[in-house]
Amino acid sequence: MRARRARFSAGEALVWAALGLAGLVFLLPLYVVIVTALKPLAAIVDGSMLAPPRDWTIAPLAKAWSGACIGASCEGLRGGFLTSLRITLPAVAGSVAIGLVSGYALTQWRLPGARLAFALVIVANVLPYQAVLLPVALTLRRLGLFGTVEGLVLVHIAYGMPYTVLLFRNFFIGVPPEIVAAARVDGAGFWGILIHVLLPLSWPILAVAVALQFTAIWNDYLFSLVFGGPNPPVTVRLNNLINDGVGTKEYNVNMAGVLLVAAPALLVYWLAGRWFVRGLTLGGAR
Amino acid sequence: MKDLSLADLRLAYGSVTALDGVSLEIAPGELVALVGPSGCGKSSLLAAAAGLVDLDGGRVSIGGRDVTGLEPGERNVSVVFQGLALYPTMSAARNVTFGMRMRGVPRAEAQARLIEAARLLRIEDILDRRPAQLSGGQRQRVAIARALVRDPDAFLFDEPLSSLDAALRADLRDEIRRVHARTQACALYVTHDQAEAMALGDRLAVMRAGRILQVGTPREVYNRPQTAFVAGFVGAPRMNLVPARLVAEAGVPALELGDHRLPLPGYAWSEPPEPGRPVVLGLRAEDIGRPRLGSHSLGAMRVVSLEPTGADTLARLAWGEAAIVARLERDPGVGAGDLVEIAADLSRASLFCPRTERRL
Amino acid sequence: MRRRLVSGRVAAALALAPAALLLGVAFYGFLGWTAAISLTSSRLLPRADFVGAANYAAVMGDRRFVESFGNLLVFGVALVATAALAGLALAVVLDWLDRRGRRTGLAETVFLYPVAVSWLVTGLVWQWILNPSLGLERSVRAWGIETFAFDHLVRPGTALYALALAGAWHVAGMALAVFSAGLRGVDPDLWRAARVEGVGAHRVYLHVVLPMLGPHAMTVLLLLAFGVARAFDLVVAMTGGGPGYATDMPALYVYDHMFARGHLAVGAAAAVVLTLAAAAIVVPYLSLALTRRRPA
Repeated sequence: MRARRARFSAGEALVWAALGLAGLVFLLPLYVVIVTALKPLAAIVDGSMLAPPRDWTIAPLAKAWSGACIGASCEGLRGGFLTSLRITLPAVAGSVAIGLVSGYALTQWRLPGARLAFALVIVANVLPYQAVLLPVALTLRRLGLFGTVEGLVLVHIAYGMPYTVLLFRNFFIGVPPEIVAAARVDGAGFWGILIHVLLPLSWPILAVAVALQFTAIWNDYLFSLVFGGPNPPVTVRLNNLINDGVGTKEYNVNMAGVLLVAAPALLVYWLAGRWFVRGLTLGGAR
Repeated sequence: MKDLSLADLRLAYGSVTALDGVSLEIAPGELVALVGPSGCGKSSLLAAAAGLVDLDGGRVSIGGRDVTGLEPGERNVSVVFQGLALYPTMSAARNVTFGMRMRGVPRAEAQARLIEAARLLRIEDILDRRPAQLSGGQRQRVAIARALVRDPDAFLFDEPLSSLDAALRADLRDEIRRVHARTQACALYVTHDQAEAMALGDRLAVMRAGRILQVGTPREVYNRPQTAFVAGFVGAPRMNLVPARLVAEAGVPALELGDHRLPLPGYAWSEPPEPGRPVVLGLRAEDIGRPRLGSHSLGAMRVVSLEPTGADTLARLAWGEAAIVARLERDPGVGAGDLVEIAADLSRASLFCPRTERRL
Repeated sequence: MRRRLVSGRVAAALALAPAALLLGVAFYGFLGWTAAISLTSSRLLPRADFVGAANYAAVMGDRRFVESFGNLLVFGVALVATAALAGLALAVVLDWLDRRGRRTGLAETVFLYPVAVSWLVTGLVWQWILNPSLGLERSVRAWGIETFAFDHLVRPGTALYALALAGAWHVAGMALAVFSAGLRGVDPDLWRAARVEGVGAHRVYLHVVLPMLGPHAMTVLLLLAFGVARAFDLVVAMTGGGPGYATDMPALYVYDHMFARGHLAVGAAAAVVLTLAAAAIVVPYLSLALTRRRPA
């Protein structure tokens, strides 16, 4: 479908050079984090940030994982990982499930008020979270869920939901209505159509939704900070490790922590690949 | 053997009226072809019969049973859609048997029915392929098989062939006719292609703007269109419509058209003719041609252009102010710009009121 | 008379209940609650009295809040402009190479990975890179470029731009993805027609293709703008609002009053103002999005 390969030209060489330079700029932070995390502290204080490590060491990684001091406890980020996972996995499942069902119901069933509902979802997508922090805090306290994993799961399902609804709505609106009509004539009901007909064709968008929700919830800082309680998710611990530390700054341990915290989301991004990109473009309220 | 009865159906989407009190009866075993321009409400009528829309009023009954409030799946109807409606993730076989699975038909019976339908539609070899791996014609055969295995009380076809090319369309038209003849269920066939409707329908229903204008056998509708719109819509090329005036010649109604006086032999008036009133004269292209026994001369006309169809030649002619199309022989021996003597068989003429467009 | 809803639609309506409940309570209900608190004199704990618009007067009269809004504006415009232009430029370059039959799959991976990283991590990494004594500045000077300065984060006049740069790195890939989708959607016949007429690629982009990307530009601007309105993590990680109040943001102001200073009502009032500002962005967009295509 594409045009046949064009001849290589001087102009193109220039474009490639510019593209390569831009690529280096984009990769620089990743490179800096990796090399910093693998150097002894002395090499950082005395040497260049950009220099590759001469004496490789995984000690900073190990320390960030299980030995670095955050406040009074010196157990590293380890505990936060578990908290983050226990929050992220159910919250992803919950918000994706709600998005799937709602997006389907909004597009394929000609419900009265579907357009208004969609408008409310879009607005919800851009609400600054600061506007709800206080009521959420008060409600979680009332429910006895403040500072608990369950409380944060609930919060992430609620505030992740508008995005997944938007995602699935934008996907299902592209499914020919005849398919659903045919299934209705065949005797399938609301759930039968979803399970037998639409779900088998939705797995790419499911992957997109899971990948985006995983990164969004894993990466969350604000809710984790406010509602995290005594055993907060890993992002809060990371910031405390780096910005609230007393004594000598261990830059290599800090960057090792950054690497550890960023790794799961980067892994999901890498696994989801092209779908991740598709999700970003589908998420716009088209 | 059940009939399908649609009584006074009404449906509006906001301010747009899709169905404006439509009634239609389809007898057991009968195939009614519903034809009309896009947006006329014909697909809404089919959706109403299938239960895919909520009506604002009216009644749908099948075999005397009121099904108006029932889900599509509870009506025992089958729908063949335009071509996008196969389940993309299922094999052809699963597409055909899905409805039976949903209704709890025993596996063995479902399999037997699948095999029978597949044989009838000659799709045995492609049953394990997915829709994306099928050609347009194969897809439509699968869709028809899916409709067939249900053993429905009514078949509903929603422009099933409009996405196919002409040759395939003709093939599948035969297929549909054959399948329908076997089942003897009543059928509603929606199409925007009047030729397809003529070819398939036991009767033809012509729709415009949410109303049915005329129902009748293809021959009736073609020969005696009840409105100028039907006259123009059914038949290709379109019926020639020429303004004229009604006069009385020796007490017998005749037409005045420029310098011409044309008799109206044996015209079956729907209402008493009123001399002096303006009318629209409708003439089919094949009723206009070279003078022959029984035809009435219209004088000499200039040939504007010629369009050979193979079997004959369509000639566009200048008749005074009007342009008309005549069907001439295969090799008419004239060229554009020539003057030819033209005559018409006025016993087949139609007359319409220019204001109401109704047949006179 | 309208017939009863067929049962499938009853199920559909029921299936929407959880989303509707969350939307009604967690978004619109809680927003209303915050607005209600903003009209009270609540300090450490919510109180149920009524003080009218006093807190709004306090917020609008607070230089810190007004300046934080100015900061948000500068930071937002700088970030959105940088990210959108970088994304557009990259998208055009990749599209051009793609049309010449080159493989560009790797590039997308390189430019998009920062999107998967959090605002927080973005901030922590760039804080390190921008560290004046140990960061990039020293590395480049070590190469002999003694005048190289990259200490913008710690200087009040430029810290906002340093923040915007880090933010742009984080979200440029999003703009790239949206613009790329738009460029891929251009009818290939249009390119063929341009080639037949002998029009150069740069002219086709400039006069034909880019004007077609209007809706995509709109999407990009809004996606980025919403990110900016929520930019709390990045600032906390990089500057904590400093030096001084140079990078203070309304989001920080709200958080600070609610959870550090124990002045809930003032924080709530500031949050409502912030929400209204966000609404001012989204409402025109919403009317556009809803009139353009009606749901099936």
